[in-house]
Amino acid sequence: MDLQTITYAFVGATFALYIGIAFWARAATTGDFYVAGKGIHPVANGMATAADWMSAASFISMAGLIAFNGYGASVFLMGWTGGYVLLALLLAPYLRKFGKFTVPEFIGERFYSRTARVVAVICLILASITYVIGQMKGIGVAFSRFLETDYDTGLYIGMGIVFIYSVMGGMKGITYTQIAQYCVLIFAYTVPAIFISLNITGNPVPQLGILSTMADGSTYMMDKLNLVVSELGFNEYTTQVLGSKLNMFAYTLTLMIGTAGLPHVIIRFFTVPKVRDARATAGWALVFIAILYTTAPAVGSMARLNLMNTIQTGPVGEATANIEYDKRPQWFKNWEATGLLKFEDKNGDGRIQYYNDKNKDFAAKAESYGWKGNEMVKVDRDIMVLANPEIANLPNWVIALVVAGGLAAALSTAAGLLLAIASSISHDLLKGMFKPNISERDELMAGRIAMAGAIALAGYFGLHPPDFAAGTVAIAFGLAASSIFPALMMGIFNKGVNRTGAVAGMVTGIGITMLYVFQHKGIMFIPGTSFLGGMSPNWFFGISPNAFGCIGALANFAVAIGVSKMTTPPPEHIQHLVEDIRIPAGSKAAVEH
Amino acid sequence: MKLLNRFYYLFGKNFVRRRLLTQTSSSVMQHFLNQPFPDKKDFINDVGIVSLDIETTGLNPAKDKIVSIGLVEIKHSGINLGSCWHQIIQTKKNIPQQSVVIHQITDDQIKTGMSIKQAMPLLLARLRGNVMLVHNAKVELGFIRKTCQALYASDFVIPVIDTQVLAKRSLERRNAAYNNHDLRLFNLRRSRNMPAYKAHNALMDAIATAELFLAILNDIAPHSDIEQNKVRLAEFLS
Amino acid sequence: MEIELREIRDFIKRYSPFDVLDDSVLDTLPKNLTIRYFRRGQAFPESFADKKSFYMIRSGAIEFRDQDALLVDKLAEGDIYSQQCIADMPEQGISVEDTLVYLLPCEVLTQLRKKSAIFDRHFNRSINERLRDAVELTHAKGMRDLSAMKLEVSGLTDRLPVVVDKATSIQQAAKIMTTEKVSSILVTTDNRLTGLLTDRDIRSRCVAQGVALETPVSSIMSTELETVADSTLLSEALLAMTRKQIQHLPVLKNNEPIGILTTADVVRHLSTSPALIATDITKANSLEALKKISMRLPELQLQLSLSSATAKHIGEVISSITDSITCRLLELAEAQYGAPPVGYVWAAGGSQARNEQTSHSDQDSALIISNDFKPEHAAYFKTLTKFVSDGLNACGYVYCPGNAMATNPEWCQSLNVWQQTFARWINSPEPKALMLSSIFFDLRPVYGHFSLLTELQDAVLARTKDNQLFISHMVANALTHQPPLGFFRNFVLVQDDTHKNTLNLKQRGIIPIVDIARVLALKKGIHATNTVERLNAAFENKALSAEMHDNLLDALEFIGSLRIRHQAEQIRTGVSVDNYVSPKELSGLEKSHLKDSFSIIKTMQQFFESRYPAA
Repeated sequence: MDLQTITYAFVGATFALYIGIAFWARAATTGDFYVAGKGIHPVANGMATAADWMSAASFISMAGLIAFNGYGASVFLMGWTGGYVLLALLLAPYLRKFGKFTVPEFIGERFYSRTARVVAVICLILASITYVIGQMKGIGVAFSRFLETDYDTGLYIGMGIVFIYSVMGGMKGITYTQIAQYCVLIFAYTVPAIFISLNITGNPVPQLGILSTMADGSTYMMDKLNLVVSELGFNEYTTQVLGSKLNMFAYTLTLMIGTAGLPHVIIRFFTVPKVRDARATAGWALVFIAILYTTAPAVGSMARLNLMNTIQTGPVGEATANIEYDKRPQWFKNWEATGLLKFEDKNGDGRIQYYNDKNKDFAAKAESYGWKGNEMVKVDRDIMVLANPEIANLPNWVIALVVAGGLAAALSTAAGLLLAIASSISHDLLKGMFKPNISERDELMAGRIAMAGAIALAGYFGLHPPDFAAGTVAIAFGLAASSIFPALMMGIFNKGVNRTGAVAGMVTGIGITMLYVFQHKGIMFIPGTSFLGGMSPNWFFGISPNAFGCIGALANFAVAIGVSKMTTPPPEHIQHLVEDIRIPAGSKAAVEH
Repeated sequence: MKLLNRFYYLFGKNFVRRRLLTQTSSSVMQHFLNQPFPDKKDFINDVGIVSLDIETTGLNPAKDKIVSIGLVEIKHSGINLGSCWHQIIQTKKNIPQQSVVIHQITDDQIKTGMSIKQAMPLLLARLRGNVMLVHNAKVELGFIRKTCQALYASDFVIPVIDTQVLAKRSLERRNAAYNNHDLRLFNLRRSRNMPAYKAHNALMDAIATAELFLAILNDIAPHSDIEQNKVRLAEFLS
Repeated sequence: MEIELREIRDFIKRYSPFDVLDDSVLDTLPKNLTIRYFRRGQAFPESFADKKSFYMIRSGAIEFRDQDALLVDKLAEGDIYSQQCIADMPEQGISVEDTLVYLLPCEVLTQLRKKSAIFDRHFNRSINERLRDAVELTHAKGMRDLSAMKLEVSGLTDRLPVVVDKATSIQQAAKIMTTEKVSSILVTTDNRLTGLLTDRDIRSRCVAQGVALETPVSSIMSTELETVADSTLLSEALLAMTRKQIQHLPVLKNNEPIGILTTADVVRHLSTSPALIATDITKANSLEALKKISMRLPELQLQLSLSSATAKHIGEVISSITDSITCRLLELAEAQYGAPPVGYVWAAGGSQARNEQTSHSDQDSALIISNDFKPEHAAYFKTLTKFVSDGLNACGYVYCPGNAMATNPEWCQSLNVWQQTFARWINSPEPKALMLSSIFFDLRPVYGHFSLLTELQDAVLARTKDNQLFISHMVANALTHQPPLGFFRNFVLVQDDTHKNTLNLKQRGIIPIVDIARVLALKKGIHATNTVERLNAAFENKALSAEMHDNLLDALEFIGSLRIRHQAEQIRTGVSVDNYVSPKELSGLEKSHLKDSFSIIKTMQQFFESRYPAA
């Protein structure tokens, strides 16, 4: 069976599995009324949460970034893991105690203001749409590879599928579907990693493989990779950072605190009825997320090594050590078809030279080899995870599995977010502000239109994404970090912050962040409209736009607290409310008995 | 001296009353204070209770003025409307716009009233020897105390039943969640399906408070117990 | 009068007889009033009252019942009670709601009556009127809005009247009456109806007076004839009969007699009327008697559905009868096992609590006991609840398959324990809690200290109100039953063997609406238990748009009426009732309406699904 057929079969089979489980779950609940469901075990719930958590950014894009940015890309690992812990431990319990689990509801109630609520809604919509752009990029990559079309066509088809998937409800809420999705996803991620790790290091555990010696025992795998990339003028793999140390720190912080503000993640914590189970769920989810996150560095680094070894087959400088374009492997051709991988024979020798021509020292050396610049003119980071098994010559079914996993990750996250956006627009904005008497049917219709609009918008930006999937998602997290996170924190921990302060803070935070992102990445991400240029020399203290959310958050805190000091303090009952939610539930009852 | 007066509260309101009586030289205050207050151990059914509401220009006794006073007496679990009294107080300070809306009193009306100096002895005479019933007593107490200090250089004391406190206690006893909004007179009455009065003046509010008190009274103790003198004032005092 | 008391004066002025008084007189009234408060369940008026007073209800309600516990009178807002001043009413009532009253001393009332002749006339007239009202109420109130109202008398007289000429001798007439087996005959003069002769006339005016048997009937017949037209409603005819104290009422069509309506006819018809059944229940002295009465319930449901009563109405009637049976069982139990050691309230759950019962569904109940409950009391309540539950089962209300009954020690607890149980359910809405929720979030007091349940419900609603976490779990639970409508607007039929190719109207049509109404009630802190009332309140609270509110009510009533009709047919043919309706039973138009109803439910569910993404 050829690869294409197997891929179709796998994608079809996995989706049939999800739908089948959905039907089964529904049929089971409509059964005998008095046979109460037993509730879902925290382990199962943890898997479902992990599936929700892992979007296209985690699955498709993160390892790709690690492949090319090495140590620097670890900000994603640290930021997102830290963010998850922050959310689970610091925020979720309080929001739960408050009885509200959508962020705007909390903010609206805590800051006793419809304006605050609406501002929070708008901030969330902005962050969520940006997040969806990131997912769209992943969807476009997966579909273009799956259907063997160019990226744009893949994206258009993906948009259509996302719309249908979302209108159908995104298969949401059915925990067993999520569990199946997690299983497919983690299987698809780790199986190729195990194969590749075996191939390269002889160690079947990728997490250990990355620390082991090469299969021939010659040298440590990391040393080998450092050697290979630096020989071609790239930064040494294990030491390269994203810009400065400060930027690394800011980037991590932004991702961490941004996580706290994104709604689709928080909701999962509340679907567990018992507080104790909710805690166990959070713990198990962390374990399941860790399985993927600890595999990612291995996947990234081994993919890079394989890629380099495929192109540079012998010692650097030898004429025959570069692969002939005509003899390029099948995967190379497949990805060329999507337009995400491009070769240009600059020196006309019919061979592929892939090196860092921005590195002045090495560029001079390359001149002497007769190389006229880097001939891999486009290597999209987001293809790495999907291309990885092909590069490593793994069996066809593994490749199909990865495509199926990627699609599942991208679709489920995108659908979940789009549903939240649609509901925000139709309920919080349309009904809340303009048409309070709108009927339920019209509200549903408005939600669907809003969803289509959001998909179209995200799709449009997806054609010219501001960054790779994970990078775009990082911007989304920056927006959430600068607006929502401070409002939540102050809402819970500072009873002195009033509505004026909160609104001013959120507007300032998100305003500064968006301004900074736009001035470097173009207004509305339209290329060429960036008024300060995207280059790092113009960065504020060397902080990249993707990492700027935490600065916005600082401004938010400062403005909110400052404004609150100057205006009337919150009413007494709000202050009591704030004090109350910080007292652990049950402590009062304990005193009484 | 002031501090010492606070200390006297430990010995009960009647003790404070006697202390204040020895200290004051104002005849109005003397008249008010020379009648003992009901004792904590008296039966609720026999105690004279005066339901009071004071409308003011704001919530700050130091800055704001009393606009009107309304009261009605409760005896034997009945509100005797024949006992009701309403007095508008003349004041120089104009009422802020917002207050006009709430109290439905305008400057013109106020000019028909008497001055606080004339009204205060009348109010104290009505409160004399009784228990004061107020919804959220902090405000009323604050204003009366402030006025007594200004006019008679004397502190003010009286046993107080606060329907807001009673309602709060009952909610807490039931472990019910509530917020301050629920504790407002209007909402407490609504939650008991008591009729909503359209007019918002001191007298109607005093009557509304008195009615709410009767309802709470019946919550706390069965009607027969109250009738048979098994229920004492102490259970209701703030 | 203090100008500030105008609102009180205006209230008094709104109601008769005070509406006839001049403002100048009215102004003097507020000063004379005393306000008193009667807690629900308290005796009215107070026995100790030292001063005789005239009462006016400001808010709340007072009920008066006779020794058979039959409702004699009910006072509501604006109604007056003058017993202490003029002795025209029952002496002792009970407040059935928390009630505020205005008291006016009798002396003041006397002065008012002296002052105003029109005012005074009201009281003179009202003595007679009230007495008559009281009689009417006993006989007719229970069925006032029932099928009997809509039934015309022509449908009740089953034979043509026997007619004789006025010249016929008394003996002759008596012979005819005997052979025709009638108790009355009509007498005509030149074919014109001029009189009525009854058994009683012969007895009292002929035999007792020693009148000769050959005398013509015209000498002893009743000539002051009361007649009704054939289109007269039964209730009106009944009223005429009670008022005039007559047992025979000729029925005319186009001025031609077509029959005679007798009290026997009426009683025969009304034996399945709710009022009669309720009366019988309160008089039943044994379980056997109750069992017999309850066997009339399906017949009652059938009658009601034939009389084109709405589904909502039928639900209310059936539920109220179940209430009566429950009350009677509890009374019998207390008589047998002694008075309860501490106060308690028996609360109905499920459809009975929602007033949506159809005849003989299963029983759901809970017992809420005062906090004075001690462990040693448990045995008493165990015996009590077992007696009642067994009794209900014997009366056709089978045991709840989920054991959600007061006999289950879990659901027979003190108020405090109930509070904790609800708090646990609300804080940890696990599947089991959610399942129980549909029973125990619909509780209605039936017997005992109603205030216990009110207190519980207040606390529960305070917890659920705007509690997003809990509400979204409830929404998820409410969405488990979806209308049987396929992707192409086709019916999705039941496939199991016993009910192949049918639609489960209750589970897939009514329950989804009931569930959502419950969620809305909990979310908005609404006390009502009836689905229609809950939806109305939700609409008033802006939790539901006008369009959806109207649509849901229509859908509920339409599906409910199909279900009632289906069950009526089953009762008629003697099959055990169920909720499985085959599309073949429906007309084309009904099928289309049913699909519309289902799609309304579907839209509503989709809406809630999108509003509560976590669900």
